[in-house]
Amino acid sequence: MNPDPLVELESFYDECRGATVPQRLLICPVALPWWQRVAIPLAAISFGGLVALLILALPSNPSIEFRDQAARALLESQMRQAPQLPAPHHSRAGRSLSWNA
Amino acid sequence: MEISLVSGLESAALARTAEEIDRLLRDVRPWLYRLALAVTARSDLAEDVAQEALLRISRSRHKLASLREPNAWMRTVTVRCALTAIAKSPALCPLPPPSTDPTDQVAVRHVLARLQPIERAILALTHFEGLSYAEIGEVLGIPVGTVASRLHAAREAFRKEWSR
Repeated sequence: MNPDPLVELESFYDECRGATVPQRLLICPVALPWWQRVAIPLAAISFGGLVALLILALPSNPSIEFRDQAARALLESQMRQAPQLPAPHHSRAGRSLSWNA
Repeated sequence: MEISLVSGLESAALARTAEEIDRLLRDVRPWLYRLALAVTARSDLAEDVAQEALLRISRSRHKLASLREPNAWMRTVTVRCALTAIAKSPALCPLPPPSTDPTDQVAVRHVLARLQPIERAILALTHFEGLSYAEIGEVLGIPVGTVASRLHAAREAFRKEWSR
């Protein structure tokens, strides 16, 4: 052990002089020009708004919409298969007659 | 009036460009981190201190355009950030006893942690930065006589804590 602890202190400061600087500190931008300080938050807000609009534009419940479409298709096919009603008779006088008459 | 005119002319002559300031801010990062490490003796705290100091310096980058000794000002900002961070951060407790291994720097860190923040700063500014009493007084905002007495007290406290 060294007689004077201040020698240890000096070697600690020598270690500090050679300390590895964290990468985060070296790459982190701390001095942005004014237009970047404005543009970056604006871009972030715009992107967030766009994502929100996309989410709102999606159907709230796609399964209900699918069921509606399926029901409509079934109804249309049943209507196509239903027996065609005869055209109403017309009297010679031009009056329309009902089918039950 | 004459003084202000002269200083104004000096400022104009010293005006740095934006590119020069950017380069200066990029180049001083390692030094500021190591200075923060020397004062705080904690790598996690030193990183936060260096980041905070760089942010403060960047916010006042207009100052860097005309300062004659920008390094002295950045040193002052960093040391004061370090003192604030030490005061806010909880002490490392319970502290293990200092190691008897002379190559173990952990022992030095723990002894430094027991000193007052101002004593740590004075020790770092003397032994790490190699500043004069007058320069240390400017950084810490205390008279030269106080620097001398606090440095003596800091060295004695370090020796006492080391031998404990």
